[in-house]
Amino acid sequence: MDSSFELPDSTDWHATSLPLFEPLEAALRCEVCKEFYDNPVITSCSHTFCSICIRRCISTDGKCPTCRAACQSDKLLPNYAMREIVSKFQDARPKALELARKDKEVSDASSESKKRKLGDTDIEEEPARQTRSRQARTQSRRREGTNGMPIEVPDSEDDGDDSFEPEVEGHVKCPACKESMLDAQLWHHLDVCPGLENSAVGRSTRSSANNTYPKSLQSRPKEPSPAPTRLPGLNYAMMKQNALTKKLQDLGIPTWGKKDLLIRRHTEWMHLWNSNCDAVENRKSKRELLRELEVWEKTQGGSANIAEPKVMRKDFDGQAHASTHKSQFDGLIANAKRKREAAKAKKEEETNEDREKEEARLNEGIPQITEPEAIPQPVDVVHPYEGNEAALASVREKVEQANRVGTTLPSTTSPKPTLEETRIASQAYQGMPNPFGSPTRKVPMFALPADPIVDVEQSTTIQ
Amino acid sequence: MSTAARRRLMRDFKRMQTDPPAGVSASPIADNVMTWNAVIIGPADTPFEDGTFRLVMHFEEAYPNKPPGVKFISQMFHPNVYGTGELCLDILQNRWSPTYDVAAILTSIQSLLNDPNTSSPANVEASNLYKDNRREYTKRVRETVEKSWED
Repeated sequence: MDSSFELPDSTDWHATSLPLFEPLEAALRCEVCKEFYDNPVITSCSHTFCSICIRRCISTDGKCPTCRAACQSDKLLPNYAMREIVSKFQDARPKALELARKDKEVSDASSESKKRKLGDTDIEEEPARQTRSRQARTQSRRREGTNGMPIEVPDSEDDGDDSFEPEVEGHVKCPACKESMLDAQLWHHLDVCPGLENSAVGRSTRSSANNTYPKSLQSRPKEPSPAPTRLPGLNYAMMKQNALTKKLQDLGIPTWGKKDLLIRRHTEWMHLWNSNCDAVENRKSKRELLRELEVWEKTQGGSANIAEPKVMRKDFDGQAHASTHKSQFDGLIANAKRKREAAKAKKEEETNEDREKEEARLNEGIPQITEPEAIPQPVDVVHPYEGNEAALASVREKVEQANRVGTTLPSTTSPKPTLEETRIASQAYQGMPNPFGSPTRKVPMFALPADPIVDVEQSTTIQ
Repeated sequence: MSTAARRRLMRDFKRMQTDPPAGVSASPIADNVMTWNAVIIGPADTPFEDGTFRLVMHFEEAYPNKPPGVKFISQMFHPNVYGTGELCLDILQNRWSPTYDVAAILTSIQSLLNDPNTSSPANVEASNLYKDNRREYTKRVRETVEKSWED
């Protein structure tokens, strides 16, 4: 399972000096596949997903995975801004991550040796960090030079950096032929430069003339091949099997199997084909799409082995499974406990800090007059969400939502904001102010708000 | 063969390693990324406190467009858990969203433990005791907690 650790993920930023890049990167990833957006499209409810992901979701249940609003695949529009941001972020990511990791190591080491508070370290480390990053950049460039092998994905930013350290002072490079010359000579040279015609004249006015652009950018003005036409949906219910077979034959995809399989195959082909139409560059060939359809056929289509999994069968022996996988379960229990202890310790620390602050404030403000007993002690109050920023955010959102919609829903306790958001949103959408209103109505279990009375009983029972 | 479902599951696994929610843990079994073992620690200040409840999860190739099958293999006493260990949880059925991942599923189940829905009980006895005789309910739950330590 080691390979999983090489999988780039937003959580990589947790162990660096830039933990705030975690939510930033998460925002650049599709909520469905959790990969960086691939051909991002925006729905009519203004949520963005990979083209293929949202197309699959829409054919499964016709709803937006984020807000559950009704969606149609022919209303999807490409989100070019997101595409650009994602691509640029991916270019910048490896270097930024590397630096942020090193930075964390260094600051950890120094804070350990000097036993200072993290805040102080951060401030004092600032100049050192800059130097280090420049060193790292220079080193990596040097390596590139000797090996002739680029270590990082070429990136316009890196090329721009070169220009800040010209090899000879006063010398600049021609943007077209890349020849190095004196600043004053450049303008004359530009008139005669042979590389000028097919290169970026316009750009030289935008930035200083010594800026060189990577090949990929220079070739970008070339118009991409026109998008193939999207396939329209079919009204399967109205089609006989023969007509459908004919349709699949025309599309050049396999035609074997019963009608149900033909429908599913055609649907998947539409996902693959139409999402490929949303691509701007690197559009796949039909051959590649057919290969992807083949994978689908083997895993989910007609050639898939869809036997009921052993673990989900009624006669599955859980006890035996538990003992076969005892070591794995023991490891999992240890992991789950460790994380919980860490969370608990953090919570206690925060509570203590709060108490200290409270005391300090008391001592400063009202010396010796108020009795400490009169002040509510934060220690006795249960703060289930303390330190859980995600849950706090969801609670805040819920309160806001309740205010806006005008309902009096009591809060619920799921710590995952996405669940909360979607639930509240859909309740507001269905116009169901109180799920307890109708006892006959089947209320989704998770939509049940925590009953405050239950909580009181619970705590009295326990204590 | 690398498919969207398998790639997503590897990512879910990585996230469970690098950023696990408190009190839950999960990993795929050795030879099959589609089947996972999971553990939920009973939440503090509830009758389930400190229980080590084991679960299995099974994912299809249609994941995340289809929810996984999830069931407890530890013995449970809970209004929304069947005798077979199967769960009655809306987000694993009609309220599923492809944006959920393993961490979201497990934290939902974890909060279900102390927040049962007695309007559509899977275990009628547990549901009735929960409503009418909380002391007895707590006692029965504590029995399963102690049993979970011996598994």
